[in-house]
Amino acid sequence: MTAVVVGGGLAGCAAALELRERGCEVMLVRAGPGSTAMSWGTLDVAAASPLRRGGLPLRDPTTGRALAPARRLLGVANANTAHPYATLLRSRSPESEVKEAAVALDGWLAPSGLRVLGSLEQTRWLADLRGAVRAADLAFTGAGEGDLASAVEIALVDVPGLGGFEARPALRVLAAELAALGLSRRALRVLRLELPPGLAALASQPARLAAALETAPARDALGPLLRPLAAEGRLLLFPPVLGLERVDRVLAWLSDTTGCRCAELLGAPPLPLAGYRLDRALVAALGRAGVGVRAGRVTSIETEGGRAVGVGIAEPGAPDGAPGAALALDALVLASGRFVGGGIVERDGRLAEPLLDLPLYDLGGRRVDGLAPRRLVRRDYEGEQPLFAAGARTDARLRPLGPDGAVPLANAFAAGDLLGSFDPARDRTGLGVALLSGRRAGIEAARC
Amino acid sequence: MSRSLPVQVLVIGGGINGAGIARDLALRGVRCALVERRELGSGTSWASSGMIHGGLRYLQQDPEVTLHSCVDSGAIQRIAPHLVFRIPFIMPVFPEDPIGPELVEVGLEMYDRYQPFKNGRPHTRLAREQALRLEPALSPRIECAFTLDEWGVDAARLTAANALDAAERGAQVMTHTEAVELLRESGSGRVLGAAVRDRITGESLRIEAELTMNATGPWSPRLAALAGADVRLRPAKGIHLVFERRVSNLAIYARGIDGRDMFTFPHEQNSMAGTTDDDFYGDLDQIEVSEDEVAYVMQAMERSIPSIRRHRVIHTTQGVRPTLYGFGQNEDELSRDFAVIDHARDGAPGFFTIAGGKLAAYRLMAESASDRLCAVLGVREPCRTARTPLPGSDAPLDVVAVARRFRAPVPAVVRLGFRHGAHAARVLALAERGPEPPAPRTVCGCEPVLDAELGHAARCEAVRTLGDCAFRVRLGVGACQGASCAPQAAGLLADALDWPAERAAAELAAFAAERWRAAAPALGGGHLAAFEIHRHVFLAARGFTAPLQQPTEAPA
Repeated sequence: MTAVVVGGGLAGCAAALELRERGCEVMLVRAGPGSTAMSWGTLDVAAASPLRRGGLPLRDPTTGRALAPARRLLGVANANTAHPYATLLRSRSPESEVKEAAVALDGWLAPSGLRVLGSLEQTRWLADLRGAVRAADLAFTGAGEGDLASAVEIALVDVPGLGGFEARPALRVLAAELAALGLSRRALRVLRLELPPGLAALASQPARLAAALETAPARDALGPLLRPLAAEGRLLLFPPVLGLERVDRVLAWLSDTTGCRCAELLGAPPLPLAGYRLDRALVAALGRAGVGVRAGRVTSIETEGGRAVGVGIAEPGAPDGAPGAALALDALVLASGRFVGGGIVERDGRLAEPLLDLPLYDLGGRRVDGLAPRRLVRRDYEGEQPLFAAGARTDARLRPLGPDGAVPLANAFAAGDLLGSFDPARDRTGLGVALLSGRRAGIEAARC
Repeated sequence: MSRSLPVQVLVIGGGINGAGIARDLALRGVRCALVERRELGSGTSWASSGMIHGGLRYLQQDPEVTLHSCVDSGAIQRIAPHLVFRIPFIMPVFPEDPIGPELVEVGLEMYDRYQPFKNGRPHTRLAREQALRLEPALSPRIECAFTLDEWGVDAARLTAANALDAAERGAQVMTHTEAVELLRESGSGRVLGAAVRDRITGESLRIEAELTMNATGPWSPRLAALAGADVRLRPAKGIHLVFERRVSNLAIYARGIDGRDMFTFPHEQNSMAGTTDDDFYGDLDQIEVSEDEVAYVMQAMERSIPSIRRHRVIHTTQGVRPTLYGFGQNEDELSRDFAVIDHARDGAPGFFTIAGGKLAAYRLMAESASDRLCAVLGVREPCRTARTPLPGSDAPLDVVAVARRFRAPVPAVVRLGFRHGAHAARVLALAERGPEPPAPRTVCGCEPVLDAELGHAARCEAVRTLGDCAFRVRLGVGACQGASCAPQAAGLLADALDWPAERAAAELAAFAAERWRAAAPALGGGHLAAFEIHRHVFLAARGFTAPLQQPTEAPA
């Protein structure tokens, strides 16, 4: 049995790896890094959001105590019955479902040095580059070691010359955030780490600096400068440049050298290395598992008698309409993402799912395919934006639904950001949905 | 009891006209104050095409306007050579055009006579093949094409340069400060200045002025009404589309379906396309870009540049021209002339309004308005703005030497030179600390915006909000729309201006909302992905301390 997975983000990789574990031949077609590669270093199954509406609550409204992520997770499906979690967690225990998924993911990533840290029992308080605090749950090696709640003293490590990070204002934000969250009884400071000349020249090229930190000469030069940062019980938070391939090894070296717990700050553009490492580790896992990975874009899906039977693939960079390769298949997983991945596009001024022309729905269940993007925007940027909640709907087995509400293709499954009716920027469940739906799509596809 | 500030002239409105008048007056030694409700040049000036041109368009019905603009274009080039840049235009002629090449050339020959005033080159006529070789983006359907010369400027920067120079010469410049009430002398009705309110701190101030100049552009009828005075405008809305990159080598003329001339032209790293010209009856504080306007501009551009739809529109600009009133004409045919109105005729002596005009003639308008004010004040000093250089243009900038000295990337120094002239070195020196200071960092890669320029804007140019930096520094107006630079910039500003965490978070949220407002009307194609990331970045970075309400300066 041969399965084709469209999309190489977390959802597609999880589906491919589950299929492979069930003995299927799997070909994953990937156009390039998607939004997984833009992630910040957390998994965010059910991170709390400071947004009053649409985000997951931080606290129990009656007791005022911080909710465990598992409780928030339950709340998601109740608040929005069209949320992918509502489908995925129906008649299942969220805790065990997530735990199982986290263990599986940890197994896939561990050979690359990325571990999945944390649990749904307790919120993990992590700081980002700006000093804002994320009430996260699961996080990867790098940022994951930086839980603020368990630190006595927190030091932000300022690296002069490095772009994207302003340590002093970040400290001020962090102090205010901790106070707002009731975590304020911690000493905070900025420590300056002047890079030695050879490394300082790389400060404006964070990826190169990150790669250099994995080499012995850089460590020899930097080691003596790190020792003054050491102090009993101190958490050292570095900008997210601690290695391009093996953040675990850089962290271990930093901890050995300083004797302190060390971690990275959560970072997005312009320092998206955490996402890059996750993407690399997933691709490595595919290779180890024997999943075929093909660079290119799926441009068409061939169907026959209510089943998908093949896909057409354009080579990377091929002009539109150029003849491509074809792959036959027994099962299909669509994990093509939203706009970043290309799972939803604007075609002739209208929103469309380009492969199957699937109907797309917003948060309220309104059909939005065929509408111009500007019809789906609202003035309040942080508020509900139908455009960014647009996606496909599925049956309980994650098979996408056609316009009539029936399943058009018995052997096609959807996962990740292509699933609609949720707004990951607001409810912060993006990678959580990718992992859970990707695995489920893979498991279901393997039964075809 | 609020504080009071006595001046000779209060100028209300910090667009190009208000800033130009404040500088003109300051150069004549007149004590003046300039109040701006938002950021300098953030209204109509920002929404303009940034063209210091004569207006070939006006040649037929308004040759005076063409002459004024061309002469003054020459003056602006003299006082601020670093701020203006040559824009070669190409004007395609299509077989179906009602006016054939011969007649077009007659018009251009007339226009050539004005070119020497603004250091422009005479037109050339290109055969089809020549034109396509010069500008491959052009439609192969053209019959032939012409070139002509115009000049461009960053209008917001030009406005800021005028206001900053005025401040340097003693004017009190207050941004985010709104005139809430005009002070009147009981009996005579004379306007004695205004009560103003700082929209950020909430502080009030009485500015007592002998004369008050209303330079609020399209808002001028509203301000005049506070004095019971009448200003009649025929406000006309204009929009531009801003593309993520330069879509052509040259500026290109395009024709709308209604026969109107439009063009696309390079501006910084981007191309802009526009503009429209439609009577405006709506709310000046909520100028929306409609689907029709975007489609209208795209349709026109597509005829000249068939590939235009493959380029990403990253945001729009929208503004309202304070065109002088006229009835029974098309918007395009309305005069671009200007008027200085003495409201003594409305029973409000001491109160003036400047209305109409064009960006290209701002200096001349300011001169004319200041002459009127000075005549009333009895000030004999002549206008000096046609000769006195704007800051930074008094000496050349050695880009390579400055880049080497401060270890700054050469393209970033070139850009700084374009914005600050010889003062680029000063901007970089400000950030320099210690014997071996780190090299300046590029905060935004869309256009190389350096941390030093942001620091300079905050510490030396009195920037007050993160949003101000979009106009003053062009932060976040490129392809990233702030996603890769605004969080860090908020940190830099927080440090320089001593903002508490809540303020920084609110500024960031307001910045994102403003970029959204500018981008949403033309959102599509690859920009959908960019905004998927954008929204993740800004919603994730907001933190728990940010107030949920937008700050007062945020767009509604």
